Amino acid sequence: MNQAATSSPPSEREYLLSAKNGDQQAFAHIVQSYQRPVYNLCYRMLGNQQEAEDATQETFIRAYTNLDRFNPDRKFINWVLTIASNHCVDRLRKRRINWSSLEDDPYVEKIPMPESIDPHHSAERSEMSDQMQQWLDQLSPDYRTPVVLLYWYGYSYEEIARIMGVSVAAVKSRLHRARKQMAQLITQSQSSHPLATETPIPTL
Amino acid sequence: MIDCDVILQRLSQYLDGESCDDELNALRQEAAPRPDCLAMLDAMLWVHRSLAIAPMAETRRDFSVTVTQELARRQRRDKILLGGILTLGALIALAPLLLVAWGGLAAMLQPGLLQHGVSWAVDMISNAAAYGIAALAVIRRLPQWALVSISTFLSLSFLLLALALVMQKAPEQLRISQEINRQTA
Repeated sequence: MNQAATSSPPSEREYLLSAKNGDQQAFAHIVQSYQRPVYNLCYRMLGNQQEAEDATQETFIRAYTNLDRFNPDRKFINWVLTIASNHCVDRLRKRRINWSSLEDDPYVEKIPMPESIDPHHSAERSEMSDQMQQWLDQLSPDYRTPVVLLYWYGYSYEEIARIMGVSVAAVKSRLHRARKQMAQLITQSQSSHPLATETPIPTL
Repeated sequence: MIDCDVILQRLSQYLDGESCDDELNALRQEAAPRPDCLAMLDAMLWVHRSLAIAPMAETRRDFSVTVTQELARRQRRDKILLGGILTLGALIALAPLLLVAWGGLAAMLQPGLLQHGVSWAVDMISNAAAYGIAALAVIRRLPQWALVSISTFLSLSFLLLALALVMQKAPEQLRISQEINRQTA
């Protein structure tokens, strides 16, 4: 990329154009810009640091090899997150876990309780985030994707529907089921926990 | 009394911003006589509130370095793979030509169904394999010139196959025509 010819640093569009023409260094700039949101999506979807790193790398490689299919009128982050979510869903499906039976899984009892955690207290947010990840890991890939895209990226239902290739009604339905399933996990673990009666779930 | 599932459904609509603030109080009042339903309602609210403030997951890894390294490695691998595919494609495409040519020659020297059948079957299997290689090339998104090369090999193979078959059948046809003429005469 010829940066000397321009006074200001190249824009994202210029980096993408250069990358499309085979400039891997230009693509490296793109990777640096978006690696954080892509990694977060992969981590929230897969629930495992090593696997999330592998999935993040694979997402960017797929994005590079398919750059000629990218529509410049679309936001690059939306496109790359679509690739990431599809890749993560594929990985989750390859795990061959029967997601529908997880509500009866004894593993649920091992999940820590929310108990007295206050989400607004910064010291407890990390612990709560880990718990949230454990509940998220219990959801099927189809339910997990809209939850991550809505709560971590603030996408509208229309954008989530476009990314997932489903209708807005399906997104809302999956979000409802995901919240309900996570709530069931919380109440189940609370009822099986000896301290359940002493430390109820905090009400709002 | 409203069913608990309906209450939870309406709660989700509230969380999606589809109803006013009063809706939450109304739902809590509806759920209040049923502790299980109220617990689910509170748990769903807790899930929503916790997800809304959950932090982004962080990593210290710089993917820009590993991605460019991996891209370079895959490009090297693809070049080797492409060379291998082309060599294999050429061998597969040429093999039936040689076999058919041999079969045709043998058939002309000593006509027999076995010779025809064997050369035909071998050619079909080889061509199917060559098409498989071509499909692999498409899936792997190989450059256009690679596809053109494979297509040329295939076309040439079929052309020569047709010629060989004509050559194989010609003496037999001639013999049958002569036999018919003789019987007619």
